[in-house]
Amino acid sequence: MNEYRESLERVRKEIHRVIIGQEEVVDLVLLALLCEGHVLLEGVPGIGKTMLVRALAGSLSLSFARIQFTPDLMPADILGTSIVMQNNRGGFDLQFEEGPVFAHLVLADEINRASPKTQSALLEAMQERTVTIRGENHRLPGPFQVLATQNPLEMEGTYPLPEAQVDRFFFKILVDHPSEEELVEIIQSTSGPAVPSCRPVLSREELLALQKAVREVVVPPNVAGYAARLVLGTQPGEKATTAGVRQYVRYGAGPRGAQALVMAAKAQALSTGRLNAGVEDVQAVALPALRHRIGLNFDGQSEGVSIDLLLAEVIEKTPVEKGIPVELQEKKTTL
Amino acid sequence: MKRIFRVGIRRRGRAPGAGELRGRPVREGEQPPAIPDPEPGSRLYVRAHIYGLLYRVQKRLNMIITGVEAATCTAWLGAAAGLFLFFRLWPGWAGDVKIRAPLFLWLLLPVLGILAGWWRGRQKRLDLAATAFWLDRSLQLQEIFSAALFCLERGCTGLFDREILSRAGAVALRIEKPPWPLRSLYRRTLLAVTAVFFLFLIPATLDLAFFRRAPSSSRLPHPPEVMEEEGGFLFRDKEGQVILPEELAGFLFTHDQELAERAVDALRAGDMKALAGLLREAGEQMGDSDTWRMAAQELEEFLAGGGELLPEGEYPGREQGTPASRNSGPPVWGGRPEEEPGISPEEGWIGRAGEEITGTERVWAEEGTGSREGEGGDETLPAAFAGRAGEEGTPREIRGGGLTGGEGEGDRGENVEVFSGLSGHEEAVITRSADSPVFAYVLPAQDPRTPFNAALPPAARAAEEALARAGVPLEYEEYVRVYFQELAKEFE
Repeated sequence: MNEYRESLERVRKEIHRVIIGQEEVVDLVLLALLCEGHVLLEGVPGIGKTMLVRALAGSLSLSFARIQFTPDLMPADILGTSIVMQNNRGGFDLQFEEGPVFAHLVLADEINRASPKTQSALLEAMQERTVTIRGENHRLPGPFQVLATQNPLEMEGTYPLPEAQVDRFFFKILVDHPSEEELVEIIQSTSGPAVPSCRPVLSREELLALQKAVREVVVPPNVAGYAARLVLGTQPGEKATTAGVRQYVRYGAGPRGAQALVMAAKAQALSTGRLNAGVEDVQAVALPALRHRIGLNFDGQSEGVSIDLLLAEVIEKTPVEKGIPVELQEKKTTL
Repeated sequence: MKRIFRVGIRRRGRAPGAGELRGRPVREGEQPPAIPDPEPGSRLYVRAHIYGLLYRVQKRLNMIITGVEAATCTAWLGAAAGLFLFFRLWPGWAGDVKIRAPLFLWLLLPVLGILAGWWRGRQKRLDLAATAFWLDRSLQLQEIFSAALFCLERGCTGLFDREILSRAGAVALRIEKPPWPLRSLYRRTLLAVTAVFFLFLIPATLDLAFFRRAPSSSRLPHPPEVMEEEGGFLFRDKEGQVILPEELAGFLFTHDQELAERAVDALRAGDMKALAGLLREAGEQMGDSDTWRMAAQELEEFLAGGGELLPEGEYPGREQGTPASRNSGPPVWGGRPEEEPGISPEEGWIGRAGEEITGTERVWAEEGTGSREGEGGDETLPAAFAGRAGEEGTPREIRGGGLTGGEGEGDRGENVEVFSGLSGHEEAVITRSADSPVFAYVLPAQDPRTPFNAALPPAARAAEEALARAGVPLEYEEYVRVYFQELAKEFE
């Protein structure tokens, strides 16, 4: 048990050699890594999104590829293509040349700048972890994780990700500006002669073992029920939802969201040294796991409603101790 | 639970008994090894601990749920009963509705509440999973018991199941006293107290008559009119009950108020001829109506059937056998017998029969003595009355009579209520016509022709006693007080 925790701690420390601050972002990225889930990092330019992914790749003994998404990027540029190669007999064969997606960690930088056609090329890779070229399936290496970044400010010349593709991301993590102390530290560490870099501290096998262990974490039925109620609470058609969701939400999270929520809760529990997930674990990962699976309606968009606030309200209003009489639900005491 | 625990112990191996050690006899002087404690990681051991704790907590929680539900249901039933009584008995809502709530009814309500709570509690019983979850949430255990129970129920097939069980068992060992859901107990206990208040306190301390005290009208007779009226004759029906002139006149001339008033005068004067003339006049007015014939017939029956015309001063039935004469409380009038006033109309009296008042004027003269605590002395009646009454310490001779005393026993027919105090004095006679009550008589039991100066002090004293024991509706207290103060000025 301690091995898992120590392994994660090693990676965390290694990443923080490069990334100053952003503890929550780093933790969430590691949770997604444990669940083999894809991450969408959203933040303004220059706050270390790409650096974070690079640091993560550097701390793991995994292959890493970076794809800079541009409007003229074609699917073949990502997935690979068949090219004519001369064989030993002097003839020519069509040979599949793997694209950058054939890596353990793929950084899809500024993913919203590519055309929808190119974006959708990632769909199969992200969900099925296979690539089909000319009728041939090519399995991606495991573990496989896509870490995409997007800039929420520059919307001109961008193509917002379709809902179907957004839903395939395990987490959507909002990367915020560092604090003053963190900024000072960043300045000090990056302006000197020695630029910090990461070294691999976790092998692929260790990572696979961690990912397997996450799936073994026990989720009691009560906790799973709470996660289900939380997900259903994001749907405007449900009775047990909030007034905000009914008024501003067009669609809520689906089963994939519930799966992601519970898996993330498992990883959260394991990362804190527990072998069973609890309600607090579910609540801790609810925002990154669900925020991108909720779509606002026109009222919500025009009024600038924050999905995070809606989700926070859902988390607050969703009954935790369902099945237990109200009179027994009382303030918590610490053992 | 016991079975599980026994199995766990048995699997640890049989303890070496005296005389044997690991299958061989214990040698002399050799100490048999102590029974080793079960390993904390032992599956059965921790299983027994976890189940033991959960069963214990489950039993306690279900008891609390049942108790709380019983208290809640009892509270609601009590509140419903209180509201029912309030609205049902409030005169302005329901008039004179007499509800006698026997003790078993009040006891039945909590019994019903407890039964309903027991049934509801059974519906809300917690199973082991809910118990484990409650324990986890209450102690912030990160759902360790829920997970352990889940692992146990699925047969510990998971990779981490044994480790989870071990951790849960360790936590179970640390929990010596499971928590109590105190918040719910506090809240529901408050409701239960409310229920007890409604169920027992109100009926026990406040008689049901309390609800009927408040009048449904705010008008009182004008005191001078009442006092200036002179008495006349009273009548007695077949049963020996006194019938006041107003009653009889109202009964005979329901259609004509003027005729009724003239009939009252005729009755008071004992002039039956005049009464017959009035009946004839009514017949002429109404032709051969059924009303007139019935009135005449009723009068004939009344006179032919033993109806007796008595001077009003000779109140019938006061000598013996009435509840009034059985009363043994302190007399209202404390004066000497020789001070009893003579019966002389010329001297004036306050025997008042026939003062019609509008509204539901009632004077309550219930049992009870003593002054009302906490009220200022400036609100008492004139000291002249009180002092005079206090100086005259000899109990007055009571001449009981035909009026049945005691609350609720004074009905004379359907339209008359007589309320009598403990003293046996008839303190108030209330009659009711079809539409409005008639204040007929207010006086301690005396001859109607009692001189004014002799009759007023006991009347004032009776009024003061009534005020002191809250026998007068609150909104009329001042009115009664002013009334007697005005009389006192005239008396002086």
